[in-house]
Order: sequence, then C-alpha cells, then structure tokens
Amino acid sequence: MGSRASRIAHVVLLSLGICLTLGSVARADLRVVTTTTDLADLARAVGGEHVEVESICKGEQDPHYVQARPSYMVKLSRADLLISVGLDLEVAWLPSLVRGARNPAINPGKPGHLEASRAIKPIEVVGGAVDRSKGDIHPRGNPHYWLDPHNGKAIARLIAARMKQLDPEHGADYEANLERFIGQLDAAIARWQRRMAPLRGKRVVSYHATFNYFIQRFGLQQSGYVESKPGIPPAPAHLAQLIVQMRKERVGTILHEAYHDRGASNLVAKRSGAAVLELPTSVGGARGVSSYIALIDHLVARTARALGGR
Amino acid sequence: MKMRNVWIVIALALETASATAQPQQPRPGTEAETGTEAETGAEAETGAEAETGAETETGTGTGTETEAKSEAESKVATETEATAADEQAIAGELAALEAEAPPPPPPSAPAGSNALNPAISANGLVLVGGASEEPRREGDLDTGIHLQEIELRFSATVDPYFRADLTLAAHDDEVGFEEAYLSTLEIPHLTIRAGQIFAAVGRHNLLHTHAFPFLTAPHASRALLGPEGLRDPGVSFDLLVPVPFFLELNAQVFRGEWLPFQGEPEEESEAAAEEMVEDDGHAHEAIEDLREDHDFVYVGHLKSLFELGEDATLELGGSYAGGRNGFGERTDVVGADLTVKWRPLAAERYTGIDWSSEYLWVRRGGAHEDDRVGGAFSGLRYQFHQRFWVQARGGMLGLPDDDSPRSYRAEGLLAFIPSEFSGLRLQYAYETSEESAFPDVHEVFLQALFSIGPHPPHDY
Ligand SMILES: [Zn+2]
Repeated sequence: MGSRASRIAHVVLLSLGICLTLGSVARADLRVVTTTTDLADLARAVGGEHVEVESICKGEQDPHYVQARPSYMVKLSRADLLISVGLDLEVAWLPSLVRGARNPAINPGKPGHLEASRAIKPIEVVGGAVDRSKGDIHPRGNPHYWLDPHNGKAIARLIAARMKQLDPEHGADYEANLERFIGQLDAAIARWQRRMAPLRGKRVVSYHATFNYFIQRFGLQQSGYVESKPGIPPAPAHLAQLIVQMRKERVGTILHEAYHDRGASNLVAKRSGAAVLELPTSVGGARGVSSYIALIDHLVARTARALGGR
Repeated sequence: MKMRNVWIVIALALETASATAQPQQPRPGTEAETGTEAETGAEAETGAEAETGAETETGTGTGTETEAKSEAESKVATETEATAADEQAIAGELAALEAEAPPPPPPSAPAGSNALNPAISANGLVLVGGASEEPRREGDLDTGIHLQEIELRFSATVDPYFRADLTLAAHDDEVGFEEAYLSTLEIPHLTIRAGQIFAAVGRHNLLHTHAFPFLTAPHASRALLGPEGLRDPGVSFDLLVPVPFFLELNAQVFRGEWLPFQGEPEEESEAAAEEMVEDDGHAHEAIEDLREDHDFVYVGHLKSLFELGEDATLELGGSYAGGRNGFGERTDVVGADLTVKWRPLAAERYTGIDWSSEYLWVRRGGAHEDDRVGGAFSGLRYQFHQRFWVQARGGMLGLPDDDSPRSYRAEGLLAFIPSEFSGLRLQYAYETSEESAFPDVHEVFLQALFSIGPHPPHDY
C-alpha cells in the first residue's frame, strides 16, 4: 500500500517537474499572440529570436466570423502581448476571449494589448448617423488595411515600439530587425508599384470591401461589391444591378475572398463576362503565401496577370 | 441557387430595360464615377479618366502615407520616451510606486460624451403559436401571441479592477435581473464574480433565454431544476487551470432558493405534482421549510475542451450542487454534459454541426416522493446555408429507471437567420407521458428574435 502511494507521488512529482522544465525552456522573452496571421508574420519579422508568436486565426479563416473557442483563451492566458487588427474587425469574438483568458497583462488599455490600427489612417470611416440598415458595417473605418504594404510598414513600426517598451533589454535588436524588414518591404514595394503602374484606373468588383486598401494603393478603381451590404448575402436585384453596371463599365475581374461562397461571384462573372479571381486575404490563405511580403507578392502577381492579360 | 438564377434573369431583364435611364448608385466608399462615364462609355474616355484618376490618387495616396507615417513616428517617439521614463523610474527609488501608475488610456476609446457610458444592448423574443393542451407546468408554451422576453444588457468596466454586467429581463409582467454581477479583472488565472449569477450546473443552465438552442429550456431541466433554472445571489470563483488544454473549474456558493432544495410538496417535480396534492398532500403540507439562513448551496463545475483537429472540438463537463434542503436533509444535484462541434475553419459562416447532450440527476434527502429523479436530453443543430439551420432534440424524464412515471419530449426546429442581429424560428414539439392523466401534447410555435446595440458575441 505504502509503496504504491509513494510510486504515485513519484509520478506526480516527476510530471510536475517535466511541466515546469518545459515551461521554463520554452519561455521566450516575449510571448506574442496575434488575431491574424499577417500580424503574426510582422511580429515575427520584428521580434526575431526574442519572441514566440502564435495567431488565433488561420490564414484561410474569415476574421469577421471566428467562433470564440475556449481553447484560444488558453493561448491568450500565457501571452505577454496581444496584437489585434482593431477597428471592430474582431469585436464579435475577441473581447470574450480576452476576458476568458484571465490574463491582466493583455486587458484593454494595458501595454500588452496593442490594436495595430493605431498605426494607420483608416479609410471609409462612417461619419454621422450610423445604423445597421446598412448591414454589419465597420463604423470606425475599413479594417482590412493590412493589404496596403505601406500600412504594413506602419504596423511593423508600431509593433517594434511596443516590443521595445515591453522588453527594453532587446530594444536594439527589435530596432535592427525593423530596419531590415522595412528595407525588404521598400524594395518589394518598388517592385509592386512598377508591376501595377500600367494597370492604374482599371476597374474591379470585389465580394466584400476586403481589398479596398490594396485597390487604392495601386490606383485601381472599385466599381461595386457582390454582397448586397456588408455581411448580408447578395440579393437577386442587387446582383442584377451589379451585372448591368459591370457590363457598362467593362469590369472584367471580380476579386473574391477565398472564404466566401463562390456561388454569387461565379454567377455575376458568367452573366457579365468577367472572371472570378479568388485571392487569399491573409498569410497562409493560399499555397506558398507564407509571409506578409509573399502575400502582397501573390496579390500583385495574380491581380496584374488578371487585369493586364499578361 | 437554381431559384436565385430565375430571379436574377427576371431582375436582369428589368434592370437592362431601365439601365440607360438610371445610372447606378455607387456604394459609400466606392470611387466609381458612374454617371457621365457610363453614358459615353468610350474607350478613349476611360483611358483619359484613368490617367487623371491615377494622378490625383497618387497625390492623395502619398499624402495619406506621410500622415500615417508621421503619426506612427510620433507614436514611436512617445513610446520611446515612455520606455526611457520607465527605466529611470525602475532605477530610482520610486520604482514600486511607478509600477502601480495607471496604464495608458485604451487606444480605441471613442471621444465624446458617450465615451464612458456602458455598452447597452437589447434582445427581444416574440412567440406566436398553439399547443393542443393547456400548459402543464410553469414555462410551458401557451397558445396565443406572447412577448417571450425582452432583455436589456448593460456592461462596462467599473474601474481598472472590476467590470460589471447587468442583464434585466422582462417576461410577461415580471421584470427582474436575470444576471447582475461584478467581476474581477486583475487576478491572473482567476475571475471572481459576485452578484446574481447562473449556477454552473450542466451546460444549458448557463444560457440566457435568447441563446437557447430551442424555444424553451429542455423539459427535463425545467422539471428537475425549476422553470427559471438555477440562478441566485452568490459568489463564483472561475479558475482557468494552467494546463496546455482548456480546463476551467468553477466553485460557487449560493443562497440557493431552488426547486431541488425546497421542501414543500406543491413544488414537487412535474409528473407527480397533481397526484401528490390529491393523494397525500396533507402529509406533505405538514412539512415546514427547515432551511436556515446559514444554509448555502455549494456548486462545483469542471469543464474541459479538446480540439479534434482544426475543425472540431469536444467539450466535457461535470457538475455537482449540494446543500441542506427544506426537509432538513441534503440534496445532491449531479450533471454531466458532452458537446461536439464541427465547423470547417474556411467556411465558418456557411456550415457547422453542434451536438450537445446533458444528463441531470437530483436526489433529495427526506423527500417522500421523487427522492431520486434523473433526466437527459440531446440536441443536434446543422447549418446547411449561411442563413438556415435545422435542429432536432429529444429528451426524457425518469432516468435511471425509478418509480415515477416517465415523460418524453421531441422537438424539431427550422431557423432562418437573415443577419447576426435577427432570426425567425419555427418549432414543432411533441410530448408524451406514461402518466395516463396527461394526454399527448403537440405544439407549433414561431419565434421572432432580434438584437440591437453592439455586435452580439460569437459565444462558443
Ligand atoms: Zn469587413
């Protein structure tokens, strides 16, 4: 009896020891949890070896419609820094996860809670009277700002500043990583601008207002949306209107987020003579899109090919 | 899709007919200047327009960028300053004091007079329908039109340390706080809540009426726990156990003025109620409520959640509630629940399956009738379209086999969800009892639901 009890105690102690050792070994200087994979990649680029980064969303997931799985609370409970997109993109699921994480370091208003939207100037801010007859709108501005690479730079700067604040010991490293990343991104931006320059003024339609920052950055023109209103599935009358408009304006391309149902976009494409271009909206959203720069690369290459016929 | 195709063709014909007369209205945020351009539609013009468009856009584009950049830089500057200040403080003797300095204000706080108001939202549930029999127990649906519930929610952080959540609910003529509690924000791994709270017994008992998967609570839980479920003034300790998977432990204390803890025969569980008043009501009426002011009900609940690959989760829960009852002896309530959810990550908006089952068992020491009663229910929900759900649930009372007669209830439901803020649900229910005095019941009800205010949370 006694030997059995001591054996059990031994096993318990041993496993506790393993847990503690694992915990201390795996402990990076900063544990970062981001809501999206894009923010995760930027955080990794800036944080380098000093950070351990995890994203709540997967690249193929629609960040508006995430379910607040309790398992995400476990990730957040161990975080030193939470980076979110902000502008109410995650409003339906992030607040309850943060509360459930029971981690005072990442409560709203704490240095460990960073809304990346602070770095950028949002477009499509809805002024004046706002109500939901306009659909599930984002009143504080369009939150899909990471698809403009210049915003990517601004986000990286903001993340670096916050990492320096939380982990001043490695401040110089964060700064050096940031400079290196900005250099890479600037080179890529020059390349993207050259590739997209001949396509300025070309008109596109998209399913949701996901690509507007990208469209604006590269001088394309947004002609309309497949969904009737944000978050509201397309109604026949709206689609008919859109088809007529697209024929008139000779819009040849529908930018379609991979996580939305293809049905309506396909239908509009067929009737208007346009083509559906299914695009990832985040890192990991398509094969080979493994970093932020790779994501914009992918978007530029595919859009340019579709619009330029090359 | 087929149906929509037909509509498109009709709408398209109408649209083409009126297209030349009426230019399209671009949506806010669209840069389409459809009016003049659409009428001429010449390629040369499009080209010219594109060039000028491009020029102005480059202008505004760089402007925005510079602004954003300078803003970010000024932020970086302030943050660098903050870091420097922190370092000095740590070096200095005031380190401890400095550490307690209030955190910077939340970046997202909107300016203006409403900035510090609590978030307010409201839910409404309207019911229309009929049942083949008169309601048998409290909470049964009654033929007619009803305002099933209007619920007002207020929530806000109180100060850096606490948050308050108030839920005021009106059913028929009654208005009361369904929940009203203060919770801690600053304790790692633990939330302590105090106020009017739901007891963590099973899974369904924790849901507000507007979040019920079917129109009413399961008949087994209404019969065993009472029509309003278990909620009362109390204190709850909610611990997120630091293990690699989700494991939550709730320890709660309540006054516990609940059906399983009462002594009066009139409140006996459903099937036996009428018979008891007739047969041996006198004997029971003699029993007084032997609970005293210092008698509490203690609740313990353990919930775990495991990821089954990327698209599914398994949730297991076990709960216990115990305390002195009105007969002067102990009541035990035991619950077990199992929920499996499947939701493909890349199409979370369009499809999903939830399957949730629960078992409840009540033992009331000192009770003459129904001293041990159990019940179970199991519900399945399948989303087959962005806007449609089909659901089915079966439940029974009288598990495991005991003396009291069994009853069964089956429900089928079709839900139409136009947006995340509204819904229409049609439910058919059939209930049958081994008790010959109770005829079978058929119900058909339509429920309209709405939510106004901030975005409703995607609770799991
Ligand atoms: Zn959006």
